[in-house]
Amino acid sequence: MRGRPLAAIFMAVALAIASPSSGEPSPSDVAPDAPMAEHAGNVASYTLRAKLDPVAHTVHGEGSIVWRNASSKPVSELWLHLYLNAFKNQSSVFMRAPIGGFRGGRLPSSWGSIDLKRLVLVSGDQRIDLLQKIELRRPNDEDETDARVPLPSEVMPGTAITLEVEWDDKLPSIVERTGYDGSFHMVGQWFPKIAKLEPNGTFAHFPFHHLGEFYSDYGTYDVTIDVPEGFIVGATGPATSVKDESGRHIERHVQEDVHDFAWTAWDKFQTRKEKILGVDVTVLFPPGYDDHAERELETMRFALPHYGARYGRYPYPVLTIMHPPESASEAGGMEYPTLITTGQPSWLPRGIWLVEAVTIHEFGHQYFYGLCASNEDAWPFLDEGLNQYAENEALTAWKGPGSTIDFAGLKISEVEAQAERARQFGHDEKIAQGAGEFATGNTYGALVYSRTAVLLETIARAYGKPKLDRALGVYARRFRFKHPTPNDLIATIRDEIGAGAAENLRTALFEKGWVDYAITQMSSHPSHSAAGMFDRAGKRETISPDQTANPNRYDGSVLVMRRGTLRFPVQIELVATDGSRSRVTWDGEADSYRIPYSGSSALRAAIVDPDDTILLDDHPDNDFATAIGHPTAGAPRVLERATFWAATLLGGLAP
Amino acid sequence: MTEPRDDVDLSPSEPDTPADTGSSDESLRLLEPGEIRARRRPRAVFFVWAWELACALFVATPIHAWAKAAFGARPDGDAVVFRPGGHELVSWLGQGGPTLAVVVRTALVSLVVFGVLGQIVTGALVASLATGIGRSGRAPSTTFALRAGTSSFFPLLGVGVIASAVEGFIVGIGLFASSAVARALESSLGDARSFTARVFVLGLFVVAALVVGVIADLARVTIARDVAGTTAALISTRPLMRDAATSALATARRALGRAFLAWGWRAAASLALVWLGALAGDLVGARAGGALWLLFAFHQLVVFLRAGLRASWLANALRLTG
Repeated sequence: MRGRPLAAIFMAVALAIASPSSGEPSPSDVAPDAPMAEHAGNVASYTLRAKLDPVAHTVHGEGSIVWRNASSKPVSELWLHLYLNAFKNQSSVFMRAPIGGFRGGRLPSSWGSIDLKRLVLVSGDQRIDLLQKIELRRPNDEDETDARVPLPSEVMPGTAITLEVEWDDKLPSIVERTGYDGSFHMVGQWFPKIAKLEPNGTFAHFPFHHLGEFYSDYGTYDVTIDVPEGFIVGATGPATSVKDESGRHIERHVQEDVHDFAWTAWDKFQTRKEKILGVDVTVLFPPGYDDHAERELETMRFALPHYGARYGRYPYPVLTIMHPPESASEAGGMEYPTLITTGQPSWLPRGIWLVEAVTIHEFGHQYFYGLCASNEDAWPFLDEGLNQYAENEALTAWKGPGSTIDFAGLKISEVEAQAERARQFGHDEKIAQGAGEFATGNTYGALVYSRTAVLLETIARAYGKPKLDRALGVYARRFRFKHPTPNDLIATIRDEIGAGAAENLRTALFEKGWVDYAITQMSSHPSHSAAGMFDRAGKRETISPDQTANPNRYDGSVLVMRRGTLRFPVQIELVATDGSRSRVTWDGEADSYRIPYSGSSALRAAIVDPDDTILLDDHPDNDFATAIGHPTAGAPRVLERATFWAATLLGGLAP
Repeated sequence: MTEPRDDVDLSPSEPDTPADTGSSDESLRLLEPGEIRARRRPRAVFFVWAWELACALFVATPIHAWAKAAFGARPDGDAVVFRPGGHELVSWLGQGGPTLAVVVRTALVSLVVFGVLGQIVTGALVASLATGIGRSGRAPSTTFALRAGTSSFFPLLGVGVIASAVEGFIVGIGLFASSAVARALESSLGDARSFTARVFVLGLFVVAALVVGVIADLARVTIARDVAGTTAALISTRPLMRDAATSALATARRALGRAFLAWGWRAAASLALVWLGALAGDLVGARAGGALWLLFAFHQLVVFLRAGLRASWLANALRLTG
């Protein structure tokens, strides 16, 4: 008998150690009934071989592409994206864009390019050279990232063609997510890639824009990577074979249901591996970053079940997290299928959760960029904005109100901090526009990331977080592998939350929608019934105000205005001089709302949206008022804290 | 500047040497090293705390006025600034614009001005620690201490400026050297380990700067004590600073380790108190009323204890300099 409690304690401890999510309940599925595709249809499948020369920083590639016309129209040409040519010279669309305020601002110290050496259409035993007729540039434009390839004959809907390709990459010094730094290599956008064919038979082709990302068809990637022995490789998909021969290290990676393939190789990578929820998670990191590697694994222990419950099961067997060295930080913070890159310097302490934020953000892209695969060039908010909301939601669920900073008593939440940035740029441009249409990197970042995330957070707070959780869960499942558009998102919000939320979403995305709630009038006075002359029972009676006054009762009103084009339901709190408080809910549909007040004491103050529900509110500084003649609550807390810290600083200066 | 007038002859070795105040029990004298204790001067520590509180209130006033204008009319006042998540805090600072710039600059300038004027308070504190009345060595009057502090203002300021310049130079060299070390090691060790090396190298220079600060404190107490012990109408700044520097360096040669240790544990305790103060602020959060008054009392206790630790260190420095 004595042994049993001890055994139970040991078992509990053992279970706690064994279970990575011990102490936290498993998140439940937010949309268990939503349909979700198991696989994407193969449209563009690549079988490639890449050989890295880490001294010359070149990659020689060759292989074949099987492409199927998945549209309803015959196709007589292909469009190939040759995105490494964005770094070929200053005449590329990427380099000549006058964009500041975002990543990729510095010129590469070494240019990059992709040179097609062979492009052949295989037709039975025939090999038809397509290279001779390729149109690399448009008239008066030296950009070579978007090439047109005329086909000798039309490809009918549903039929497939095979292309043989051979090319040479010259990697740039690290610039915007790709390139080399010493022997470190991040190899993205490195092969000739067929643009996405839309169902109507047109190609969604576009040059590599400074702010733009990518859009492609799904397929199976079978890529053999050949690097010098001693190099550690990370790549999309699991390694199906690994061998060392003749001084070379060769890995073959195969992954179906993806729309891109990237890889990295460095002879100094350290490695951590862990199986989380059935997924083999590998962290590649520089020497000395062991703590960051652990933090990244901790993040995935939380994120894999959390995102799985919200947006559907992560369908791939592997996830590789690459933390680049600080000198190559520009390679960090990027997503590719099953391969994400993180970052942040080694000295960043726990409590400043930026390592966790970038890891969870890039992992979230596996859903919105990877599994939904919306057009990132035309509608960047569909990936970055939704993913930013998902990151904010996840970090808040994990870390609470100090989800960005929880340090020395200061708790800053990511979404609350983004609200200010979202307000600053809210009137500048539309959220829902192409990446190439944004005037600056600042507006792109503030609108596509912050304002979209804050808009969704406002919808969650105004209409209920479970409703938005479910709506996004349904969206992510319903459109898995389906390349959704903004209309698909709005329709899902309408179905799951209602027409009001959908209209607010549409207005905010497409029409620079905004809102400002303000308290513009407030008054109260001792209650009294009507005074004056009254004809009652055949007699005229004059009643003076003094006769009708009820000094124990106060009447009054508060006038709330709604400015702008968005209409969110909102609460108004009325505060009486005796300290009593009452709340009224307004649907926010009309331009104004007069709230009658009746209470046992005078109305002292009123505040609209006391819980900061409407994070998009343009002017939170007019959300409240104190009645004239009543003392204000003042700012005693600021005075106390400021006095303490000033005295502390003086103590350091004076002696 | 001028010939010093006759010293009050407050020779520490002659506590009974008559000054000119009649009864020897009422004579002001320099205390023997063994008599110098901060705990015997609670009034002086209280005075330092009161000075710091007054200055802090002055520095905090523009910040408070700005917060009051922004949040005062809210039903709960500035409680929202302390809500976890920081929505209103970030919005307030984000929309601060020119007001933020004015408030920050005003606060910084005020801090520097009070830091400079604080040399008088430091001088008064040291004078109070170093001198005593009668055999019991009871505290001199506040007027005397303040007069001594005022007289030692320029020499103390001079030492402060020179010490700060030397410390800044050392840290500057440290930044340069540590950066060079990190660059040299980065290719072989990687950026994380080279950063650790950088921190280590910079740390060595910071320690060197702190040692300079301790020596400067030894010079400060020498100046303030000498000024308190003179009856000269005017003080000659440069000779005083030169003598103090000589004395401080001699003390450092003799007992630098002891001095650094004595300063070090008090500095560590002082930092721990600040940390406790921050923690208390976090615990109280947005509460007002009694909780806020309690926090104020606790914060001021922290400020008072730090002033006490500083007085304790200066007393120790006085004992070391003999």
